[in-house]
Amino acid sequence: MPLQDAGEVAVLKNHGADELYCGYLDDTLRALYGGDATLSRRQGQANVSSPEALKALALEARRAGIPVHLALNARVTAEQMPHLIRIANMWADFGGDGVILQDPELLRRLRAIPTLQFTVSLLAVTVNQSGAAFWRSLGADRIVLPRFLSPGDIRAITAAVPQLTYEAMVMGDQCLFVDGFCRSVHAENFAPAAPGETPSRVVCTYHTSGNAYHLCRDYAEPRPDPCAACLLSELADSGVSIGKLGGRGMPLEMRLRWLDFLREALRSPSPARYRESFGHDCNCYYPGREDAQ
Amino acid sequence: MKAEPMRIALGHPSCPGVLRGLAAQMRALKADQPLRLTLPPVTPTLDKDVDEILRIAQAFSDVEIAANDWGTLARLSEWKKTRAPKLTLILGVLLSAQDTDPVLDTFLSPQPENAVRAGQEAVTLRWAPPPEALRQHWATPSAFHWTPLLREMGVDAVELGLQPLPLTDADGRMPIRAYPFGVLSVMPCRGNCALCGGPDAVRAGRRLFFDRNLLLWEEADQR
Repeated sequence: MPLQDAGEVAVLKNHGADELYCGYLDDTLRALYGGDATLSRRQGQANVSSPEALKALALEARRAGIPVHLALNARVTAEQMPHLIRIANMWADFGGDGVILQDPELLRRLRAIPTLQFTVSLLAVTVNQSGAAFWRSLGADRIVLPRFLSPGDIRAITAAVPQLTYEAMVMGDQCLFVDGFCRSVHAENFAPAAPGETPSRVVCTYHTSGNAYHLCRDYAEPRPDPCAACLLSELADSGVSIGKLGGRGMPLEMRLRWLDFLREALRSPSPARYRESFGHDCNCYYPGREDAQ
Repeated sequence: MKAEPMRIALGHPSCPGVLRGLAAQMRALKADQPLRLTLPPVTPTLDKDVDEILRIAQAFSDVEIAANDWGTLARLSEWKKTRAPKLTLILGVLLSAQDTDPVLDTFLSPQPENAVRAGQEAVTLRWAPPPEALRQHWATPSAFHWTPLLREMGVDAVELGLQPLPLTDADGRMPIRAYPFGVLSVMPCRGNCALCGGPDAVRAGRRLFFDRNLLLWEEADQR
């Protein structure tokens, strides 16, 4: 379950979250790389913004007895490596449990940190047994599988490399495209201001742009509240033991609504309950999976 | 002097349907024909197709293969080490991890100020030059810092497509194979080709178009 600050730990746990994850973008990184999605594929308020806030979040999670992972899962270049290694070490010192990443060289450099678990992000697009074995050989503990895999494909992967833990997206953040292969700038989606409104601050164009190109929306309207509630048991039977909710940067209220719904769906998934919860017909996370490939 | 035969290129970076027809296409060629194969991400459903492709490829004297998922790259790496030492192995364009969004270089030039809303807040969107580190990041594929890993795997080259910012000149980078378009995104295969693709568009002066499930761009004046 994604979170944005220490204050959300208790409430997310009380609503049934078993694990948490967050992003990070401090002032040093912001000065170098702007406020965009450079390190965690999420921008702005989706990220924890200072070492102090990150430490508080890790401590609060530890106090609550709930593991928390740090997403460093954007694409990486050599110049960023010292920053990422510094952040991962700081995270380990704070008592963080794991790091989510997609870069193989970053994993090779971080695996020496003994207290951290390493999760290969959805963005690495791990699609087969050899891919799972590859990441395991580099030091991965867990893999988030891409949405387009069929349950049969998932079963083949999890059976071939059972030493890893497998995770699948079950709610939020549905993209028309394959996330890990999408190179679209993920800018904040600004709306035009009303005439006469007084701006409160200045934002640089390269951080975010009201006219920024938002690829997905050129080809399909985003569908609200996508979920895999009906597939939870099928995913579990295929070897997936962790369901991931997207939505870093989304309001807490919305994330809680998703979480509450999924907890209930674990007992008895039903499109009627979905309609009741969200006010519209359900949007399946894995549409057409039965005839995929 | 006898001319070298042209290398024939088969396959597709992202379409499983093309992969399924690859073995039959290869069987129609002579074994001394230089060959370039591009494999899409290979899900377990496609394993047998790849087994057959590799079985046929062993008969060819000059084969390049571009892999577009880490698992297939690792599998081909092992195959090269144990059974096909002459294979030329290429990190495919989907794996090279470039920043290719056509909008990126528009951030380098002054733009008019704009009043917008960020959630509940009204803000002024004002142009400023991007920091040098960010500009460098946009210009540098991740593949450039994977050289030690790629060499260990026996990879011979990385395939790069077009990107809006000029490619950075990194030390120790792998040889490059040029892909002729900018790769922007990939639609997951739904098993029905009619569901793939979408209309052409123009963004930041570039023409966007689909090749099967692959969304590409080229400079608008290229055609």
